[in-house]
Amino acid sequence: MFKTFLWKEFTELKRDKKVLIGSVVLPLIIFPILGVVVFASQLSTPVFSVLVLDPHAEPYAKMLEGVIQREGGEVVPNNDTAAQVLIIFPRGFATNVSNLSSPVTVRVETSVSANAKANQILDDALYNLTLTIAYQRINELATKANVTVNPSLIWSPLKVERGYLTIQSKPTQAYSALLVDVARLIAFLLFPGSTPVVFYVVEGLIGERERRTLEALLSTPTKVSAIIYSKLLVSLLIGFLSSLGDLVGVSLLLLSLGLYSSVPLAQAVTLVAFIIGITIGNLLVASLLTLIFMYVLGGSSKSFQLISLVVTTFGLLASFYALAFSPSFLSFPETLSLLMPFVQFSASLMVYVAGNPLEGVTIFSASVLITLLLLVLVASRFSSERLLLK
Amino acid sequence: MKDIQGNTTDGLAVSVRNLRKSFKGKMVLREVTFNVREGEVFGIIGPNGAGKTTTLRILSGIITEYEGDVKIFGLTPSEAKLKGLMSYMPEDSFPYERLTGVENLWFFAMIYAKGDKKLAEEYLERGIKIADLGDKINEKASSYSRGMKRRLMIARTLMVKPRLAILDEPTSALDVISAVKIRETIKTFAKKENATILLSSHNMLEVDFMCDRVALINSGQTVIQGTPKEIVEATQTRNLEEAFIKVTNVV
Repeated sequence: MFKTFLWKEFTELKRDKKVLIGSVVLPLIIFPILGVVVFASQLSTPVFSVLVLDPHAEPYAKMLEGVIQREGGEVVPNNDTAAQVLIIFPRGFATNVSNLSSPVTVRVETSVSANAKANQILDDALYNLTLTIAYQRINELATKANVTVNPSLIWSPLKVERGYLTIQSKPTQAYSALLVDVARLIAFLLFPGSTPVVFYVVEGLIGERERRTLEALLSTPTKVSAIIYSKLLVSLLIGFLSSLGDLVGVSLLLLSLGLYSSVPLAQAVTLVAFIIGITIGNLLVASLLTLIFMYVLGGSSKSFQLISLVVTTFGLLASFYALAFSPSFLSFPETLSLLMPFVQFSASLMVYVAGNPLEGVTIFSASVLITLLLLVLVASRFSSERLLLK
Repeated sequence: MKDIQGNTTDGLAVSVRNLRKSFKGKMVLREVTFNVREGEVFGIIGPNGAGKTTTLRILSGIITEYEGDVKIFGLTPSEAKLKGLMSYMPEDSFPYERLTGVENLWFFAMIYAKGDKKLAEEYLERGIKIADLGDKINEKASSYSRGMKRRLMIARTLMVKPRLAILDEPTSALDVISAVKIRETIKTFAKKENATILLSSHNMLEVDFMCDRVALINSGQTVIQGTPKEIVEATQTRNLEEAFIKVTNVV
């Protein structure tokens, strides 16, 4: 029976070009384009210009230009309008380097259009300049005081030995902290991918009613729950296809972390699988909420707007919750937050990457199981009368 | 005569006694009572809002909460629906526009055949014949005229050879030629398959032409029932239309 329903739903979908393009094809095109645009903006080379008004400051300017070029910046002549950052060595710069009671001034003019990378290179270049000047001043002081010093131990006397612990207080590597940050971002971004499912569930049932095909369907020798399950299944499949763009992007990000950073590849692959599971979990929760609100509010087109608003609000709450969520504080009453729709899956991801995979998987599995049970319960509450007339 | 469970049904396809139904406290059906014998074409007539559609929805198993006693071949409507004993065509129902005529029929054929492809093919073949849409049957239903869509829906209802076909206003809003074709289709089917047909209509000529017996419902109550001739005689009028006007007191 399901096969027949699925055949009908997909045959209709195949011929509904608007829905197909809007929900499946567009996300698949838009997300990669968005990724390329963001990536390209990060790749664009920041352009710097250095103006030296003190001839004795030339060596410092050369050193600065060297750092900029090493870090991927481009240095152009100071009259070039392409420059995003202009660094000026004023008159008297070199003299002030030797004057221990006076600060050394450089002027920096940054275009508001300069990207984060330009600012990062600038900070690194200025830090190098600071170290060079500090080194000279310490040497000068040492000479005057006739003492032997290691300049680097003066400007950086504190030695920090870093270590990382999981939420179970077990030693781990620095990549775990990186993964928690990445997981937080992914949990924040994952929910929007599940919103189209709201439309498909509502459209699948209310749409049939409005197109006057539902009553004939309800009169067939089929249980109402079977009709709802088939609609849910199709909605989940289309919803998953809509999320593919997100998933491909997230997977590529994680796999690149596995290949090009300290994150072990096996860990990255497992995380990809976990995130696919969470996407499905989010889709299930979105379907469940839609069905519950359809049951309560009825199946009119007015209800559709309200249902979309409510489900999206829950999702947004969960998205922002992911940003603030601290997996190490998962004890009562914080555990109550797991009752909030969608939060369970964000939490399971965070707990998983923060070093408690068993608890993460348990939260995930329990959430999926409860969601499925509730789906069955709510679907069984629908009667053909309610579906058709409420 | 026995039902499929072996209970005696006295040759009744449908038995409705003291049927009552309310929506949000508003009584829609107050006292509907009638019987439909196996093999007859039975008409339910009544003005707008009389409760015809609600009665048919209860009989077709779509509305399941009601008061009173309703039996289809000795079973409750929900049981009869799940056993595929009847087939229902709602008023103003439409085919799936993005599917072709054949695909529409195939979808319902597979549901009634419960996945048995051979049986579904048999239903489909019959459906194509009943629809009689020529090559248009392979085109998307969105390209059909209203009359063609209705013929497809009639074919969907009758192709499964139901023991009881329930048709709500089968010819409403159709042009004369389409309506005549559909009446012929229903009548031919009833005669050929010895099926029981229960239909509702506003058209007294149609009811007179097609129905063996008729029940007139007004304000949720059965007012009179019998053959069209019996009703005309009992109301001392010249035809069913006058009888309808007299009984419902609408003029």
